[in-house]
Amino acid sequence: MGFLKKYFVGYFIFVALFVVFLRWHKARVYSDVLLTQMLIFPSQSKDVTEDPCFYNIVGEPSTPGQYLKLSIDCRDKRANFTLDFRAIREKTVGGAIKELFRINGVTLDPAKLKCIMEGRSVTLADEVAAKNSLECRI
Amino acid sequence: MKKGIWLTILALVVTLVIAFLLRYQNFASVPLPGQSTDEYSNTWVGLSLIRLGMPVGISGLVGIKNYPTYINPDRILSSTVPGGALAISYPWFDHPPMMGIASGAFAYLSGERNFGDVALLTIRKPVVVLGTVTVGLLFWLAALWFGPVTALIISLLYATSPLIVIGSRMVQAENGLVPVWLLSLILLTLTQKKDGPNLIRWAAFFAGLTVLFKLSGIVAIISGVFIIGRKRRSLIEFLMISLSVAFLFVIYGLAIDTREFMAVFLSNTSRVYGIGLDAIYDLFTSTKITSTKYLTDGWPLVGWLGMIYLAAKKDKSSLFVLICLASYLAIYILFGSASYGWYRIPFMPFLFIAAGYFISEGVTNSNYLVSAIALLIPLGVNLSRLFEINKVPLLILIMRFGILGLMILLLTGLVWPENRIFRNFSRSAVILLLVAAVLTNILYLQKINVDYWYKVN
Repeated sequence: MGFLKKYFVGYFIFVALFVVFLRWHKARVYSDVLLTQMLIFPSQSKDVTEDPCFYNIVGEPSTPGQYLKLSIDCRDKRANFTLDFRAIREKTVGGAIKELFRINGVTLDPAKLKCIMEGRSVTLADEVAAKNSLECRI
Repeated sequence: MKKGIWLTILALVVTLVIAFLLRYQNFASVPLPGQSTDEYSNTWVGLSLIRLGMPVGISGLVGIKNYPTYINPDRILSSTVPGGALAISYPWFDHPPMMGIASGAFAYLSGERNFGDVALLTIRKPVVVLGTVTVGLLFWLAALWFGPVTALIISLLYATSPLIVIGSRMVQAENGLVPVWLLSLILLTLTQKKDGPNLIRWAAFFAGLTVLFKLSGIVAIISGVFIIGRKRRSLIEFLMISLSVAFLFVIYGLAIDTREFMAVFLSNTSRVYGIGLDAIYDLFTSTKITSTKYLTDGWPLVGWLGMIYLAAKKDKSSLFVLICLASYLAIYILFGSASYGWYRIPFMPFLFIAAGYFISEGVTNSNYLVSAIALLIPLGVNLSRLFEINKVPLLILIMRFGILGLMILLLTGLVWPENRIFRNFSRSAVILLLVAAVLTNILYLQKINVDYWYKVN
């Protein structure tokens, strides 16, 4: 049992240092800005494209009533997306388009799109709501 | 004697090289990126612990706040992950962080900083190496339990089984848990052979460490307790050390965010029982890789048959295999949250020990008939996959009449055991079947590329 006594003395010292380290490390490096950057920063290795219809997002979010339909007419083809409304940080037309472009690595300037929502023409600054359908063309 | 050792080492090195090459081939594309988002989530946990001091990952737990976020590494949202935003949670305490720390640290050292940067091409590399190390550790353990020849057969089967090869490419906590558990068992077995208190202590340390990979790693502590048996002093040391190491997960959680850790803990206790009441039948009859993909492989079934064979034996080594398999079966059924293929990974080393032992009995101990029948299971599966489209009539002819001839030969050997010629022929037939089974394992793996993977169901 002599060994266990020594072991637990060492163990408690280690645990104390471990707790101090975890708290110190979190206090030193954590920031909401860095967290957001890590979550949404586009990958450096991902291929980028100017064509918003080049990549798709498969499937539909399983969030009843919390979605935004977005279709883009790219002259020769058309792409349809259904985004999870909760994941769009900026709830505007421009915010939704920027989010889609960020996901798919599209470098096109959103200002080059002309959009209509629920039958009326909208600007990038106009607000979007859940279940809205947005149709844009280049 | 010396020559024998060198031959064994040489055979082991060749086995390890084969194991590595098979795991490395197509490692970043099969299974497809996104077929398990856990691979990314594990790495994100490690990466965020390094960069933010707080674990961030995907959580599927009920009642835990999550932040739906679109993250598209390897363009998984365009291919394998339908439905959109990932349920990101922080601080993430769904599982212990050890696998995340390992893969996150590797990703960080490879220059990946943000979640979108994480690519399977990077993060699966250390897992492939870990898979190869597991083959080596399995050889060591099996050699201690059943001798080097049986151990070589076991490690060769584990190195080449299509199910194991593909499963051991994935960044899943089970792929970290298994080698650490094997190491603990090796040390425990060594203490049975020579009395060394330090070996028990290290075995306890590694048994505790398995829990830091996944809570189901508690199996290493349970199996350790049964292996030590009634040696009170060793048992107390083993339990105290292993549980104290495992308890580091609780300390880690409480230190980062006590309230969230307790909330996750409570949510974990009320997880959905997803594997169903037919879980054991499903375990025996199907070979799953991911949540939806099945890759038919005959070896685990041979392992289950081998377990029955081992149960009839009364030696200590057979008992150890049974302890490990039964302990994990109990944990698997107890936890039973979902029917994911990777939850079955910890069964595999012991199923392969049982399978290898079952087969080696035919090579070394004249139980030719059972070994031959056992070998025909994976061999038949492999051949049917290799000749799925082009069913060679000649092969079917060889199979039908070959098995008939083989059975006549083996049965004659069985009723006329003193005849050396029949004995030698029977042994050669079993060895030939074993070589053919291993060879078809390798050939089947050559076929499994991205295109083929889409057809696997």
